[in-house]
Amino acid sequence: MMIDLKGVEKTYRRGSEDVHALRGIDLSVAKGEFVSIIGPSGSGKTTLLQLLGCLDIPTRGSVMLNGQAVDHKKEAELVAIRRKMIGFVFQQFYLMPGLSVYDNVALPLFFNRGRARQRDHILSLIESVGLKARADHKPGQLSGGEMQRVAIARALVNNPGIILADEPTGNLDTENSDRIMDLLKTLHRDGLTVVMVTHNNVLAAQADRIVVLKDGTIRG
Amino acid sequence: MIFLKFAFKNLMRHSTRSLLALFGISTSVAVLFSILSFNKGFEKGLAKELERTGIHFMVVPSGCPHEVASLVLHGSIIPKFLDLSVMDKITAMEGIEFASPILVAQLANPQQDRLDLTYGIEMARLPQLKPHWVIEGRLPENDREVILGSEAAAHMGLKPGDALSYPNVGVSFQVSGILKKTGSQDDAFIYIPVKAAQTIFKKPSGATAIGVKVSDPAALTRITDSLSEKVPGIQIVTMSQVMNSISSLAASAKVLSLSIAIIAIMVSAVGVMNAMLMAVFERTQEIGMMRAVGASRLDIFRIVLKEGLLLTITGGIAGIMVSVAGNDLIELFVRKVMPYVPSENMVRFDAGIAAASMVFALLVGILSGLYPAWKASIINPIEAIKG
Repeated sequence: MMIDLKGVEKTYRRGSEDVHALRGIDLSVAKGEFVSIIGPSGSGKTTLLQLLGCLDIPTRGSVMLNGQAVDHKKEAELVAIRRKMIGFVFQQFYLMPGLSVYDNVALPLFFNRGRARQRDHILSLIESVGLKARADHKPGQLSGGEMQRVAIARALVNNPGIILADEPTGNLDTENSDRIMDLLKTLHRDGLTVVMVTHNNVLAAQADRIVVLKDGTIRG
Repeated sequence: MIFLKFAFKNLMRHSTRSLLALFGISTSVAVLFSILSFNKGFEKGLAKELERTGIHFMVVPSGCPHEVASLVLHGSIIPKFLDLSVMDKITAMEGIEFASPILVAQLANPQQDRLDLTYGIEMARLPQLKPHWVIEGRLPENDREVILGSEAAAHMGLKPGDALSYPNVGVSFQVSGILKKTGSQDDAFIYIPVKAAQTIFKKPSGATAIGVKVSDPAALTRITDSLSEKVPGIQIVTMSQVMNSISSLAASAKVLSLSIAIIAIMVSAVGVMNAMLMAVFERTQEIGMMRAVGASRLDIFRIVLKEGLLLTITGGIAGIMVSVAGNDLIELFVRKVMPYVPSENMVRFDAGIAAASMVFALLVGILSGLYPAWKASIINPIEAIKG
């Protein structure tokens, strides 16, 4: 199993009240599986994605990534796992405005000092998302769809096992959404495990499996 | 290196704000650098000037030591005169190479309706008393010839060979030479032979001060001790005392000016901190993203800290350059406000002081960057990304 969650609970403290974002989640995702997570706002989708992305640790329960327990790990260890195994794609793209497409794609490598920066590797990623001619462009010169493709290339630069996409098409028109979905499906075909959070049932249906979250628990 | 590139790019994203913070830092570093350079130059110039004065001590009427200090170096008017017999008593002592009277007074100039400052001095001793003087023309050869300070000459429109008369006291002089600009108060005087001065002011053997050179400097203390014992109503000021007196004056000015510089730097540090904090708050989401794609807390901390350092180091370099470029103006200002200033150029580029100012700028950068960097490093990536 690439992802294995058992009895995962997450409770936040907001002001004086406890918010139970996740109330006991059991979820397994096989290596190379493409899973969609859908559910209304506040159902715990994003919290779940954050636990999978080692941005947070559960209040209770266990999280295993590729057979390695990541709950209760220290921040430094979580950073290391994130660098090695996880590629994030966000709804808002979050590219660095001052840096070129090439440098934006290479960004995670700057933090991952153990890994050499291979120009060919970076350029081939840019080519694989169809932006070869734009490697030197700044984000401001790109369309939304192009920016999200840069973000996907960035997510792949560390050769992660898991791609976590948080509403990756939320800010895009249909044509660009389709193109992003095609890219994610290609990654999935190439053997990556893809977990995508979305509101869009049509897009969700393109995954191998749909997980429906409601009030912090899995329904179906 | 890449962090530095980030830092630079980030600063350029808010160029106005960064430039303002930069301006604050560079101004305060410029002030600090100027003050330190000036003080060093001042002390050096002072030591040099005293070294060049060819006398070991001054005998003056008892009074205020600061007054004496300024008299010894550049002449000022003390409304007291030494007793007529003092000169004889000094020369009668053993071990005295020479004693030279100086008589400084104001002389009314009815033609120009002003008071001229006259400095009675033994012209034959001039090369020993004022060894650094450069005179255009020649030294006076008789009691009717005078030298003018460059400012005095310019003021009165006189050149060597011209006449300068005081009908009110019934004397007329001829200008034999003009003292080349020294940049000090020496420039403002009319140097007349001391004998002529004594006649004009009706002090046949009087003096405002007597400069003394001893034949053996090692015997200085013994001579001054016995002199003050034998001659009442005088005060002996050695050159080292003068130096100390001026140095302590300069030191209090230094403390004051340094405190102002420190306050300026603290204010600019707050400016840098503010600019950095704003930049951090605005980039919350971006920082969250960086954390998600693999940046550790330390990475974020370093990126923000480097921004602050880049800002303050650039500001420091700019400040030092501005200060070096503007040192003539600073010197001009200081000469106006300080009672005594050595005649040489004082504010010069000094690598040690530049390095010290840079270290200070660096410290300010670190201190003002620490809090914003820490704030940035504790940004919760989850909340940041969600907005």
